[in-house]
Amino acid sequence: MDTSRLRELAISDAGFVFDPTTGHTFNVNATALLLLRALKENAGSGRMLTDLAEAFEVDHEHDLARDIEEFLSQLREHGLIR
Amino acid sequence: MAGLTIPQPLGRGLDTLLRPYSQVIFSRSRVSGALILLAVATSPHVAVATLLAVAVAQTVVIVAGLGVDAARDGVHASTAVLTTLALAYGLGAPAPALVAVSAVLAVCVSAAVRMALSGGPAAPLSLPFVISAWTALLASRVLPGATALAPAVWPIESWIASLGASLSWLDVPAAILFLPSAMAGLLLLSAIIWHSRIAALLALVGAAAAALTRIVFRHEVGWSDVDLTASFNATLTSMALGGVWFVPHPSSILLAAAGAMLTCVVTYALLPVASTWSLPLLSLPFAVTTIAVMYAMRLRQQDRSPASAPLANRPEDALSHHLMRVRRFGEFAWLPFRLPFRGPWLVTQGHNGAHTHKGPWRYALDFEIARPDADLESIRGGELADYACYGLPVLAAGSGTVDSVVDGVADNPINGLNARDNWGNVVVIAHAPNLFSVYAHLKPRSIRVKAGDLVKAGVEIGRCGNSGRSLVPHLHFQVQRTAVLGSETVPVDFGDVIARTNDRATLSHRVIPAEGAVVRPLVLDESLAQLLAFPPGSIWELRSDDNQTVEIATVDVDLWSRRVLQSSRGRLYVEPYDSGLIVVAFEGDRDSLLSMIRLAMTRVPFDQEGDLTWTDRVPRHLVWPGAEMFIDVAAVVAPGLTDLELTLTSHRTENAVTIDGDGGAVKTRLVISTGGQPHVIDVQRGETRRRVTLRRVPGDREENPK
Amino acid sequence: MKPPYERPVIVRHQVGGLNKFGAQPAIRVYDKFECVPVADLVAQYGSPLVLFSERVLRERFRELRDQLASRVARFTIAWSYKTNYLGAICRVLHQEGAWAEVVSGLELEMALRLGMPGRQIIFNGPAKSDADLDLAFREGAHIHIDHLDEVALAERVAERRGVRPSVGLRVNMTDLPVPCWDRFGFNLENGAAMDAARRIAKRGRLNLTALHVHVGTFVQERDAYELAACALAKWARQLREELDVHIDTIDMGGGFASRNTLQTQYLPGEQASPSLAQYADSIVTGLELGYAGQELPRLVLETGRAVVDDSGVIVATVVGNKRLTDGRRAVVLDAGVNILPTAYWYRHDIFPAQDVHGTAEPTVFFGPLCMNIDVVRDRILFPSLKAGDRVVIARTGAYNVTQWMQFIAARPNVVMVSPTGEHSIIRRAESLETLLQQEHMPAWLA
Repeated sequence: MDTSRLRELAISDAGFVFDPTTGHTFNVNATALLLLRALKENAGSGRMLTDLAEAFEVDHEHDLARDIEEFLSQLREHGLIR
Repeated sequence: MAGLTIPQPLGRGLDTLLRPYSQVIFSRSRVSGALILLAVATSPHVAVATLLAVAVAQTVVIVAGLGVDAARDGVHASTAVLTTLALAYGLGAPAPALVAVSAVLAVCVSAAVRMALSGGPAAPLSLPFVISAWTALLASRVLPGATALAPAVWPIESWIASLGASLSWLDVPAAILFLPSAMAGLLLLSAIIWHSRIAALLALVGAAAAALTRIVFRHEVGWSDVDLTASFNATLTSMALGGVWFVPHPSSILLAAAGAMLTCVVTYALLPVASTWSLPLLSLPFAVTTIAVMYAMRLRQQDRSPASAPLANRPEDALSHHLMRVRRFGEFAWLPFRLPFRGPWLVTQGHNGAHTHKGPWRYALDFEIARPDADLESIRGGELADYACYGLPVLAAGSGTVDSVVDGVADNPINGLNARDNWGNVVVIAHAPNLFSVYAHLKPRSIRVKAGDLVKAGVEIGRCGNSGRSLVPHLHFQVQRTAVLGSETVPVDFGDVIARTNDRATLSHRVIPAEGAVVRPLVLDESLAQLLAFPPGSIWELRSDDNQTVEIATVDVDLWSRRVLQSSRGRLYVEPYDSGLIVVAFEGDRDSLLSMIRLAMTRVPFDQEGDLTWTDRVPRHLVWPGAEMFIDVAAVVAPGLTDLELTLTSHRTENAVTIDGDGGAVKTRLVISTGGQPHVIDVQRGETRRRVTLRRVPGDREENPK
Repeated sequence: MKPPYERPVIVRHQVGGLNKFGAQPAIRVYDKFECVPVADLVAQYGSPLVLFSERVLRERFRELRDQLASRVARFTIAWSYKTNYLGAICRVLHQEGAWAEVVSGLELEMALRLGMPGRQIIFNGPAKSDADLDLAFREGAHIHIDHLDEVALAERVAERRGVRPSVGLRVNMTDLPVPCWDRFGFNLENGAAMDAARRIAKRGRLNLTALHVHVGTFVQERDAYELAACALAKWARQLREELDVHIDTIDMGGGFASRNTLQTQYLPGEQASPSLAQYADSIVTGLELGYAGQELPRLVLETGRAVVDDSGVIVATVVGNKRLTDGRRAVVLDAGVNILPTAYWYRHDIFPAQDVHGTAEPTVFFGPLCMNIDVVRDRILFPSLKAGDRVVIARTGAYNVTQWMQFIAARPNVVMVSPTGEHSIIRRAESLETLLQQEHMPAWLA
């Protein structure tokens, strides 16, 4: 997974993301923000899982691994990771 | 009235003979007439004279073409009877020729006076009698061999001499017949009591008032015939004012007492006048006072407490007519006014409203349309066409003649105001000589009537606009005493008004819409109207639920355009009008199937609403059998205690409209079938419950109902 | 306290979509239906669930009735059974005073079975059989004749029954700002209608007393009604003068648009569709123009979706989520076009039935059918949902319970909630038994 482009993104604490290469702007919610930051530091899925679980109140209905997977595919969609 | 069935020719003959006697106390009852004839018969030769007078008078009435009905009514002949009684008392034994001629004179005078006073508020009362008796007495003085001049006042001594005992109260009624006999007085009193208990009560009131007046004016003086004359006149006045010309009510009793006292005073006043011609006063004070009071009462602002009774009858009939019809539904042309529009409108300013309905114009109403999902405030501003009521039809609130029309004033824009043409385009309709309705702020060139047009209630007269002193489109409505715009307004009730509050639709039949209420008139349900039209000639079958009893009723129309359902056991009077049906009266056997209908069907509105609620107040003695004789009197003295209040709710299904009535101990249910089945009536009184089915029998004149 | 977890989402800003600070448009949560919690209703009656509000139904009908009441003295509103012929729905409307408008022998029998007297039933439709007409005449129903063969058939049946029924003629018009439905009735402009009237008047077996026009369906162009009413009124007067035919009823049909939004429509239905007041206004204005001051005959309106659409919703449960290749999120529901055929016509509003968190993103809602066309809503901004969440699809009252399919899944319970909060099934869910009891295995396959 190539997360190099992530470094170019401007990410605000409020969840606003600006991609200077394409000029696109995005919104992310709090969980996505945490994941983005983790990805920028080249974190693996394991670390992302634990980060999420520590930072947020998760109830057992949510399948975190699947959500992370889906989020990664969203990022791929938008061309932010490869 | 009586349960006896008498063959018609005999009955007619009896009427012709007895009614002249009963009309002395304004009664049409044969029994009362017979009692009075008996009273007269206490002086046999006088009785013979009166019989002669009746025969002559009735012959004249028929031969002169006044009509057989007039003869059966006995009114003209009763003048002849009284004239004969006066002659008999004044002349002792009048010659038959004199009696006969006086009878002819009496008929002539009676007819003439009746004709002269027709159309006014007063009735002739005893004026024809007084005029013809005076004429006869004066004329008798030129007859050869006439006995002594009729005394101006009949000396009390001769009265006492014939009695041989001290005076009793019975002399007062006896004096009505000019007969010096306690027995006559007793018989006359019985005739009054038989005819009407309320009249008997009023007679008592009159006598008591006269006694009081005597105490005030003449307490030092001994009893004389002035007092006798005053007393019997006062009694007659009291009966007339308290229950015949005004609906019996505590206020009418007060009026009766006051009238009685006035009569005494008038008697004292007229005494010297009459004695200059040596004429007896007879019952002139009664006639003069009563007629004067009736004219004076006409100027009242509102005809209530006491209400005038248009069909002068037995007091019980006047009372029941008032309670069953006028109090519930208004007298004027079937209903009080109707709402002058269709569909639900909001009353934005009511009587004594905060903005412009003040002072002489306080009894006015402003109407606008309420939108279902927005209050009026949120739609202020914008164009005229944005306002839901702009351009909607405005209807005549009552039948009448258009008095004046103003058209050609332009609509104001929203929030504009035209203070110069205050009323804008306006129509004034005359309903009676002193009753006019006003419809203002109409749309220019939308008025479709002109001065002089006859309009019926509900006909479109124009469209709602925004002309004149109007900021937003609305209808301004008021009723005035004169045709001049801006004159004093009077409060009037509206009939058949449905108000919707909190999902309940309530029907009121005499109401002044309050500010903030959403009101609408009835929307005709044609199938109900057709089912309950009771067309004349139709035949209806009533069946008890065990199928053991069947009554057949045919529908006829009476003189007052009421439908009469006549069965072998009774008569039910109903009045269907264009938006409903009301039951007015019932005569006959209260255990019959026909009588059950009047309880369940007191009022049926022909409206399309699914669930409707209304109340009705029915005098209890017309509802409960037994003891009617004396409940009538109780109803006069303490109205309200004798009323039955019913709450009625209607409910619809596909093929029926069910009306449930709850009156506490009495519960009713009427199921009107719209699907061709018989209608069902259930009445529950206390523990007993009865059911009747009603269906129209096909094969009468109208087309076959399904 | 840690903040609650929500699924991570990244949403790209589109022109015309969210504003650039990503502010959420307010999403209404539909957790109560007429004060009864949706969750309780689903727990009791299952999912998917078709719900009807008696209160809204009565209110919409009363609104139409009030609008007509303020304009005309005599009118009748007939309920179009083909829009929704569930007994409970029809009963509510009949209690409010509505007649029945039926378009087939089957619907006629339905109305009669409910207890409607024949005199309060209007029978339209181009395909009335001999038996249908026989039943109609026997019960006194009013028929509106569609074509000349029906005239002939009606005359034969009337002759056989020995009656002279009052009938109406259905008319279509070309000169209206809406497409002409010339497949129904007789055309006015080319004289076909006059010919039919002449034929009926001449034979005399039928009594022509009513005229009927139905300008279209979901008609948002209210001038069409004004023009049609005016033309019909003028023709009624012409019939009186030329043929001495007395028309006592003018039936302006229905076709009033509800507040749903058509698929191709830009403005939402609440803004684009005329109100009931505006329809009533156009119709009465047209009639008054046509009658030029004469007294109006009785006006009949046949209403369907304008009255019932708002009163019905469908509650569905989320079965799963997926992400489509174009970035849209897709949600699969247990209700699809099998029970919501109106999804083909409308962009139904959809609301979550429980509290929501998370960013709203463009979402497509699919149904449970294994068919590509099964799309409940193509694109709607919606917050995130998980399997088991419920949604409420709004304004589903019209045509769904009459046109729904028995396809792939069994049709669910239909429940009505009263103004006081009572609720009851008005049509039981179907099951395998329901299907199988109609089948018959031929002998050679047994």
